[in-house]
Amino acid sequence: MSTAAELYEVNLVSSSKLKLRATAGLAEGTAEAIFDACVLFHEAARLERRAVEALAPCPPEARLAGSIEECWCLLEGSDPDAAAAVWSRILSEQEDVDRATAQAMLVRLRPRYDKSIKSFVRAAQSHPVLGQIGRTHILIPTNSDERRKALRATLAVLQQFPGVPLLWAAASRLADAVDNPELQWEAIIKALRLDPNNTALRASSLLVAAERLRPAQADAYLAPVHLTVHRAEAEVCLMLAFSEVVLAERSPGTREARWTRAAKAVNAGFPRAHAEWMTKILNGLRLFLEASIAKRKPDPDLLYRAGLGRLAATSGGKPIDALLTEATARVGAMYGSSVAA
Amino acid sequence: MTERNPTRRVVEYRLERLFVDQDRDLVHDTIAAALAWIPGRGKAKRQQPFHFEVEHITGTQRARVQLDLTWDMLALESAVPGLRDQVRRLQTGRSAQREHITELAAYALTFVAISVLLPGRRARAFRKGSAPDILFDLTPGALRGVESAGRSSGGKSALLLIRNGTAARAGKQKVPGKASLLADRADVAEVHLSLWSGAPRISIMEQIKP
Repeated sequence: MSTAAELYEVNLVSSSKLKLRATAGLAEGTAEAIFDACVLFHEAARLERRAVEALAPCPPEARLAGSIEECWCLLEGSDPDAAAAVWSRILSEQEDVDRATAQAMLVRLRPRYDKSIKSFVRAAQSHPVLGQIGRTHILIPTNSDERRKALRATLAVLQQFPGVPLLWAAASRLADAVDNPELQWEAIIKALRLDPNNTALRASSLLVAAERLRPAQADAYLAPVHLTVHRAEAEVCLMLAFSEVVLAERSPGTREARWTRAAKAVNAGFPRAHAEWMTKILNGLRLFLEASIAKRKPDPDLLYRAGLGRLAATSGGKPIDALLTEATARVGAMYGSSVAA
Repeated sequence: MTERNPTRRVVEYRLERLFVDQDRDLVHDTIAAALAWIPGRGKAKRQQPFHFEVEHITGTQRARVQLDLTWDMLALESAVPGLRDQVRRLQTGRSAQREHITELAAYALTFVAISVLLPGRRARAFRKGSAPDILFDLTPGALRGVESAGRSSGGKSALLLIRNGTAARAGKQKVPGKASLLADRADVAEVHLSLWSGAPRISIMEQIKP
């Protein structure tokens, strides 16, 4: 059994190695090496946090030092967005440390943070379309030219800040909207590499795999998730089930097996559903799968029976398509909240 | 590592020794940058051994050490696979970032300085957001370690600017020196400064605390 102090040190030592490897990647300077470095810095930031959390009670200086290191790692990992969340914690933690020590500890970080935030804001503001998305919270414009413009702007900011997982997630959804499947997949995987604990991203990546990869490749991506579905989060269960439904459409010879796997994922999702919308969509999907497995035509009132009357009234078309669109939008809207957590 | 002259201490150090003297996982990613940075750009300078004039300061004592650095590429490559290509990419690659090469080389040389001048001490952790960069004791509230910095050129005056900082000038704020900042830290029990200039090859290793 490890003591708190041992856990603290193990995390710091592991983080140290990642930071040095990441710095070597930055020194190399190619786009690929820099992105890999961003991934390593994000992992190092998580380890710094874990180290402080392991040490209870944690002396104020060690807590502040941990947050400073976490923030620095996120800045080095080109993610001022996540660094900003840590910065607000730093400002409150410095109050518990004597003034001279806190100032000396922050002397390296403060100018680096200010510079990075300033250039991040400048980069975003140089693309009016991103400002519009920020104000309206509508990521996918209705006009196809606007969609392309939004994607170009997102990629331009990512070129300067390749470590922001939310921007990669946005790029993935925009790439879907402009029918660029390679970029849609590449971008969601990049988002996930930076933020592997983001449940919503993980869940969405399953559906992107099912829609955009060859069925055999998609199956290889989904297989480990099926093995752990009994302890997966509700979003993952939901999107895993939809992924199988999508793949059943794409490869009709495997329909029954896929619907059965989808039904298993839906059942695993119910106990962990944390919101009413989630339970309703799971319900709708369950009704669809029960009918499909029994070789019945799905009930046209399926959405009403699942409690999704509004969706039924406004969607038109097949109920399963409406369910999928609703689930994709709902899970997509959770990317940010998972990051903040 | 051998000492040749008791009056003016000359220390020969083979870089591959670092994998024994220090934690190999920490050393591993600094070697390519060290090999790319230490020889400098002029061809005439690219010959081993590479001499560094090191001023070692502890309390009121000052000692001069000539550090003669050598390496065996084959031996290093067995510890760092692909090292030769990495060094070539760092020296000639269009995308290579000089500031990070200098930063990593300074860490490698600081590992050498710890091995030579603080025998028995081993780096255990490394951090970037606040000083000291290299830690051999992570006890919260009583850290022990070395703060490292490198400059490609500038010699002793450049290193003293890092140590002492710069006064406020028209339009520019005062930049505090590393020595005073480290001395102010209540959570640091022991700290040394390890500063390196690439051209001329000069270094300062100074115990700041206690």
